[in-house]
Amino acid sequence: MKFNPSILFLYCLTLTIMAFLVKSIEALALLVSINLTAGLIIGIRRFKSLVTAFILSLVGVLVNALIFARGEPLYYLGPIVVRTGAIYGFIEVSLKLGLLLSATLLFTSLTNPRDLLRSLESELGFPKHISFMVSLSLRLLRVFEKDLAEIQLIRKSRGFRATPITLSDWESLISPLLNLGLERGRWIGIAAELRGFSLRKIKKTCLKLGLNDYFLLFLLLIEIVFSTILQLKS
Amino acid sequence: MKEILRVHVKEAGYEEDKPILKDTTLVLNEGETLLLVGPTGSGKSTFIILITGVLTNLLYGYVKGSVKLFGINPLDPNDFKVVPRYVGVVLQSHELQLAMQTPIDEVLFTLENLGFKNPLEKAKKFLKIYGLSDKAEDDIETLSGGEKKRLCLAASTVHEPQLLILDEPTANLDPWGVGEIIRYVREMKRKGKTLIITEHKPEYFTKLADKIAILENKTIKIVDKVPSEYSSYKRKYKSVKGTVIVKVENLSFQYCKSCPFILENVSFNIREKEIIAVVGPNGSGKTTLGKLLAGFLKPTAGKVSVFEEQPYMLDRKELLKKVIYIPQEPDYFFVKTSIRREFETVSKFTGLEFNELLSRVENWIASSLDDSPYRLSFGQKKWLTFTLATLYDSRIIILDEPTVGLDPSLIQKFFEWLEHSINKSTFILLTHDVRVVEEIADRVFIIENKSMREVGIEEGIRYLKQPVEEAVK
Repeated sequence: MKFNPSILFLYCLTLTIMAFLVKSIEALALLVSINLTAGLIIGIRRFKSLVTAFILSLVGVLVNALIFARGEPLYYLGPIVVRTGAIYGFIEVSLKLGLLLSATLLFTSLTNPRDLLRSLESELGFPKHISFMVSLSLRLLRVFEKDLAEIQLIRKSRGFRATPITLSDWESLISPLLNLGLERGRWIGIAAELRGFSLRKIKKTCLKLGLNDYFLLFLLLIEIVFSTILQLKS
Repeated sequence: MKEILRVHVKEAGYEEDKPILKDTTLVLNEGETLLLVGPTGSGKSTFIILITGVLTNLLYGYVKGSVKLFGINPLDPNDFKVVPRYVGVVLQSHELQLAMQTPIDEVLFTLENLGFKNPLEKAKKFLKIYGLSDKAEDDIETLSGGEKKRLCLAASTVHEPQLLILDEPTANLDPWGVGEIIRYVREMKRKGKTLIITEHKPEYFTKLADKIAILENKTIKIVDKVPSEYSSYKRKYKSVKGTVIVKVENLSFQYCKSCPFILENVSFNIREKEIIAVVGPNGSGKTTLGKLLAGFLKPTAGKVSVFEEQPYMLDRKELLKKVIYIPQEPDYFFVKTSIRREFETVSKFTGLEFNELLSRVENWIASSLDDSPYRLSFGQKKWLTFTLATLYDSRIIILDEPTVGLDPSLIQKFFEWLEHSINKSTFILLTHDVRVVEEIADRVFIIENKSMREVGIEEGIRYLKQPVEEAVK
């Protein structure tokens, strides 16, 4: 399935913005059910670790909700009091994260860095440096997956668990990942400049839309309308 | 002859008053090949980013002096922009310079930047020249190390610049990949291109070089020939026939059910206090074998036993007592943001006092405790991984490409370290480096076409030397 990268970018950007703005659980559930299903079908094979990170983050969301949420007590699980706010908060934040994951999976699976770079700068008129940064993130995400898998294994040779549990475990995983990511970003930028990125000339072109793009725009319109109605109702 | 490069630098570096290069004067004419040698961390890569203008324009460094490249001043921000029209630069690490997802996109990126007409046709032609036509649309992450290096060459030279700069072009490559690079340099020279090559193994390019320069004590000097600082290591340690501690029986491995087998029916034994070299082409399965022995992966079929236990089934702390794996990329091995905290981590897992650990490390490490391990030079990072691994006192140490990025004197030091540590540990070295086989290994295994066989030291040396020698001739 091929989409115009700019339309896909706008679609996923809108989903991301909605994840921050929409508060209605019904609206979020609607958005997540459509997009996460599609995102998982398309992207789970390539981005397993993103999905794993999402599932792990839900544990954090749950703990956070149980500790900090307010409201009427609903259940008592030993010393833990489950309040109404905890249930509501957990569902809301999980759905928001789910929507962010959907946008990421759709975006990263359905386009490639070069098409995106050309489309953003020529069709949407984005500055070339911003377009390059966005498109580079697609490549880095894939490399990040590789680095993550490698670091997880090698941490066993330093005495850590392959799957992080404690704060120290997390630090030992995130620290090399961040440093490698920064190093890559820096040198890829240098390599791009040495391959003439500053000389890159942008030729403005009109958006070329296919049937798939019209479908995506239509779907986005429906999602915005229904989410707004549900948001206003709640 | 037309002058291509003139460097007259009093001082240059990343921070004022901390110069990396001093009092350097150098002239390079059209069609000449300059071979730049020097110890690890001496500033060879800094020289490259200095003459291309990256140091001052992108890395906030400083230069006191002047650089003229094709008549322009690359230190000036406006001239810096046009440097790529004249120069093609292949950086040391191929992992750190590929920006796109497929080889064809990577090559097209350069051509589009430089405004070429019909870029697709040219990109396809270049991929064919570099033997990557069949993989033009593949994901870059599925390419082997050698293929990635070739792709970097294609992407950096597709616009056919007059000056080619190759920073450590043979690093991480197997002997066949090295042979390809040597042939490539010869071909470029035949075409009249000007070349600057930095290299830890200068013997690969000495016959092709018109000028040889050495970077030492922050200064570049033109010399008549490469100083023979590398003399063969004289091994003092005598092999002992210890007990068998690693037993591999009919081992087969594939990463997933639909994936091809990496290893098939591999069997061998390793004895205590041996230094084993496992050699073979890029992508032949050396690293996978190392990970199987280190307990990171579970065999698909067959059995791996380390001290009569299957390593993948061991608890992480038990595993660490028996076997430790040091990856090729040192950054993967670090887990904390300062060297001090790295040692605290070792202390936590070994129960040894922090001060006792410090007494066992070299002075430069003990005096850099608050530095980040990620900020060290590549050679220093490598050395720190060796040091950390030794402190765990594991019985088997597996080192993946340990000599990559080490200059000749550091390699000598590495061999000394191996001999010094042999009373405590057994070493398995996954390598392309003929010096490992020639000067330190007890036994050699060749891993090729999914299988593994033991060969004599002489055959191992021949196996690694032949492809390079043919290319050098």
